Amino acid sequence: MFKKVLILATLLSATMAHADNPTIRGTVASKCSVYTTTQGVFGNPSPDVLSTAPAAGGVQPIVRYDVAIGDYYYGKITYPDSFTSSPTLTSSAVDVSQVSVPAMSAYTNNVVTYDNTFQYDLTEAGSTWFKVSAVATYGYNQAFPAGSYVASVVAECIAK
Amino acid sequence: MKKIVFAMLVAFCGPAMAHEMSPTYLEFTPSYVNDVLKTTIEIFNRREDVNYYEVEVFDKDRNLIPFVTPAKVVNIEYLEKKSIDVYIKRSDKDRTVYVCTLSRFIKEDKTKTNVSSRICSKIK
Repeated sequence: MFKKVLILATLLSATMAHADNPTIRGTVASKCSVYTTTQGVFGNPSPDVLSTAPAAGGVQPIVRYDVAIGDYYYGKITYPDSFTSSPTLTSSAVDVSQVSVPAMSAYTNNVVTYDNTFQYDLTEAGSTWFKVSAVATYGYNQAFPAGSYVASVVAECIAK
Repeated sequence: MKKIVFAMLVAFCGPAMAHEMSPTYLEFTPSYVNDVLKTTIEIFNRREDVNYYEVEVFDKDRNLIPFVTPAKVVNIEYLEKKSIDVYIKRSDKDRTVYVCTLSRFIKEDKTKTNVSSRICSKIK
């Protein structure tokens, strides 16, 4: 009786042995992403001025940097110094200039500026928003010709 | 407090559009052609307003370095991910520092101020 029970127990507990090759999967994702949160719009408060300032009827472009790990990237924002597309302008006295790039974070005072570029050392992981302003004037007392005006802001994320 | 949190969520729920590129650090390896090195970058286009990205290769002073890609300006549709092989001469290896991608707009009648994005990976 005991032998039968033992055989039965052995048969019941005998299961198939499985061999498996467990896999480890991983994805290398971008550690710095540049988001265009808001595209800018030029307002035309007076005949010789185009401005992205809300008071002038414009919209300031907003760029967001998402950095997964801090201290691996520089963020560089270059404001426009000319139009990428515009009607034919007779005068060369067009000045498209940035007014401010107020970083909405701890980077406000941690910035290097040169030419028309603001460079930030992205030391903190997370999201940072940058707002760009641009004002264009067309010589002294000259009205901008009618048409569409486009200027480009360049937002860069550069590995250290 | 709940109202403030809700208001913040609503305020930040805009259509954000992103340009992503990986890896952060690159390495050039020998290709199937003598004295030509190759690396591969991957671009993920999450910008609805952009369908074209230009590949650029720079030295440390941001001077352009000659390179070859299947297409210098690559068409990448919204939410598409594309791998791009970049080839340089072996003699340029030591001075090559950055491989970048720059979003490109089609020149058309727009009234908006565009935001162009550039992401640069570094050669280690």
